[in-house]
Amino acid sequence: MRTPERSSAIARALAAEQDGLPKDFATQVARLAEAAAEARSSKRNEVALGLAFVAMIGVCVVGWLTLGASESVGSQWLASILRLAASQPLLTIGIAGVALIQVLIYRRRAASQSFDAH
Amino acid sequence: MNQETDEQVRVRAILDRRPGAFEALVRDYQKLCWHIVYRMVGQDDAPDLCQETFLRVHRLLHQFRFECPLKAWIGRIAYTIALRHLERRRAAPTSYLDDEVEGAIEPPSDEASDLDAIADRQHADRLREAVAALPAVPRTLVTLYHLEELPIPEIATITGMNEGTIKSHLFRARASLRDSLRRRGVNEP
Repeated sequence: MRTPERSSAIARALAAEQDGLPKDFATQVARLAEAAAEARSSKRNEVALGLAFVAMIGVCVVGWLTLGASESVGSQWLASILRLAASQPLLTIGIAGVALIQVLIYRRRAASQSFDAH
Repeated sequence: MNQETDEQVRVRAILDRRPGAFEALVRDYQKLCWHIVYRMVGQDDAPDLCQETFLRVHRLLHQFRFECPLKAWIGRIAYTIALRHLERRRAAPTSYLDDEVEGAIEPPSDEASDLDAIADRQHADRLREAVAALPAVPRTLVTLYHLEELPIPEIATITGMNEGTIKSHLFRARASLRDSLRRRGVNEP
């Protein structure tokens, strides 16, 4: 099939139409795209951090089971940790509090970085 | 030595998050995007869908493999978003031409010159109305071909249609425009 001829009349008629986009459309969209990319990147970082944390705990547990298992039989190692935590409640609450504060600081820092970038 | 094309340089700049690179790309292609989306869905939803198009372009740009011009790739995203929007609205584009009948509509002679003569400047408004009255897909094709002056293969990339179908749509749309202008009282020369 042959190719249709272009019509300058149609082109002229359509070219006279104004587009309905705001004047700063490109700026707005670029800003939104950057914000979305930042959010995706931040989420990836959080997931990576979480995985690293889980991996670290895993390494600790494996190490405990490998090295400490000979001294405590079966699941006694867990019982001994719980006994220790129960015997020192203030210490346990303190450690948990510090961990919680660290997590909140990290999240706040991540959120403010994301906001600054926008 | 492997020389990077302008498009590769541009895409790399965006992926490296160089300031202003993506904004420049949006500025260069926003008209194309508007023409596609506006012709497909109309004025009301077009700005939001154009924005959605470029956000998707930004998100997927790392997947662009330079197998087609960047312009066609962006146009394809805009077309797909507009098409899905129409489907969601349950106002699927009313194609007045089945893909199977391509080739059946080719006119005996090209009518470009008479259409151009009919539609001079004072008739531009009527011509615009006639284009607006076309169904969504042919209306978009007419815009891409006559206004954006895209080659048929690029339009095929954007719309996913084969080239014969696009040509048939264009011939048919031209015939429809000519009839429409006559009905609106524009005399043939």
